[in-house]
Amino acid sequence: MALSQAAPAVRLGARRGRGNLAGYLYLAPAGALLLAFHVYPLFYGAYVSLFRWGLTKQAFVGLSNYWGVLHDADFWRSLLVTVYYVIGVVPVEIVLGFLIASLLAQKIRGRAAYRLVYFLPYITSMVAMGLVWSWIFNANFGLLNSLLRLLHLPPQRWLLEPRTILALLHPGGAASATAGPSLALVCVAIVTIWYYTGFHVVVFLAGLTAIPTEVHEAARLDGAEGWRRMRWITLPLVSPTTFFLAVIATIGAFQSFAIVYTLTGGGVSGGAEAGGPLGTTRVATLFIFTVFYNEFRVGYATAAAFVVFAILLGLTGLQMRIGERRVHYLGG
Amino acid sequence: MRISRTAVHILLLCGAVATTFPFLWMLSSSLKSNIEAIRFPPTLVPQEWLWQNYVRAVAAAPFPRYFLNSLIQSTGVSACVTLTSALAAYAFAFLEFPGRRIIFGAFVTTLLVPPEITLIPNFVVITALHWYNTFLALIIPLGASVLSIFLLRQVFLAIPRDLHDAARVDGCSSGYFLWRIVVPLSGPGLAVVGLLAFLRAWNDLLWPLVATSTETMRTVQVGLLAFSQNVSTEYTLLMAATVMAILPTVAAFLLAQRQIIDGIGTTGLRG
Repeated sequence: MALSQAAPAVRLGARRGRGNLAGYLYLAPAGALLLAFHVYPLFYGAYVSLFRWGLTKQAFVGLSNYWGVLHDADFWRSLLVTVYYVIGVVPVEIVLGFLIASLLAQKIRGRAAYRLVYFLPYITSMVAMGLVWSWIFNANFGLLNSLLRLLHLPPQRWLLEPRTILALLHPGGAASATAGPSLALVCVAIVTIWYYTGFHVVVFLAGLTAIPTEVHEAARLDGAEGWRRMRWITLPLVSPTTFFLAVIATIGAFQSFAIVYTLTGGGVSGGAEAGGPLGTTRVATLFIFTVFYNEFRVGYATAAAFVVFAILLGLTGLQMRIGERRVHYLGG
Repeated sequence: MRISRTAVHILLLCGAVATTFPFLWMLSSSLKSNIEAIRFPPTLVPQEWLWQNYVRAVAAAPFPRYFLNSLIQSTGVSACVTLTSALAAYAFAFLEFPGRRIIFGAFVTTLLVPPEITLIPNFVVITALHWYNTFLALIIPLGASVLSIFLLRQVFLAIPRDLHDAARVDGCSSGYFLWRIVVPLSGPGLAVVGLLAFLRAWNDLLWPLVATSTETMRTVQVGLLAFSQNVSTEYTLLMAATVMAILPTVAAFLLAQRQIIDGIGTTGLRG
């Protein structure tokens, strides 16, 4: 009796043993790459940030890179620019994405074609389309200034303009990052919104079509129509999608590099240094990149990256906490 | 909130025009003469279609080389990501082993580490490995993607477990099952993962900018940016170059747009 019970257990154990090894083997390639290029850099970066580090390791400086970053006016200015940019981009992307998706969700003719068109910018390269937009925004021969001229309006400097829109409307205003977003940054934000809206449309459309039709039917039977149905049925039920998009759009906008760099740094309309006119488009990633790539202060740049990472983590945590309270899950 | 069908179409068409206009302007500018490109008032349809702008753009910079580099990099990354993701997703979807949930959680957690943190240490690492300015540096660090693993795991989970158990009882090895059953059943899913990895690599700027130094190793995006600084007054050539730079991705997208959009819509794969 004892023997016959023990035997299958042993066999099962042996089989599970083989399963073990196989499972780890299948995970090994992806796991090794993730470990080497996503996890290890986190710790190695923390190490690098404690050194004065140029082309190679120089001297251990403890936390003084962090101290320097936290007292660097340029760094805080880049963070302020980032905040303007995130606030300008994320809500517009989400609202536009939701509006277009809810129009498309009404079983409209040509839905697939619209979806295709709206999504197109998202699969192209930011560098290529950034160059196209800087041609449109070109201060001398660009299309926008030609249109202004046709309307007998004064031409603008667009991506080269460090002044805010308010200052442009009321001449005499000072040009500085603390005065508000520059016209150049607004242009960068518009291009960003143009690039990402299709992505939001597609994700919202998936979220909207996942709402069971019975829910809408029931609401209609109860006399909820139009705006009321939108406010009390659609918006709450699509809120997990909205929340998800808000979180990843914020993270994405915080990490924007290629668009900003192409439009106001490395591209044709770029001035002498990356970050546009008077640094009014130098977002945090661009600050880090410049310190690392142009000045080769590797330790300092890494410390700045960690400070930005910490701020972003805090922000995402905050969004999660707000989301927990505000997001409604069907049947949850 | 009740809007008529016509109004809906008008709104959507306005949005569609705003979305596509930069593409039209790019095409139009790429075919104009330099004089027409800066003429006032502007024209949308070129008076004379100068296809030789494309020939001149290709001749003005080593674009064939950039394209070859991007093709090697993107194909390499795509193959690498598809392979590593399929293997890992298979383990997560079908195999039993201790710590499976914890390891999956750990994989997902790596998504939290942002590119600006990994950029500089990875640069230091590839320099130490003497990979700097080689294809190894362009491909290997991008060779695994957690979102792709996640997407493929979802695809694999749709395959009935009974099939797996029955095959294993019949003595089918796990590798054989993956290769002969799972892979053929997951064609579209694998294609989407491969294509998305290709697009990501093709469109990337930051990593190739940092990981390469010579002109012969430049990818299309890095080369395009350098080109834009050199020909800053010849917008027609620049627009011809941008058309060529987005052509492969637009073609790939049009071929598999439904699968790509669905893949992104359901997983929220971004960038």
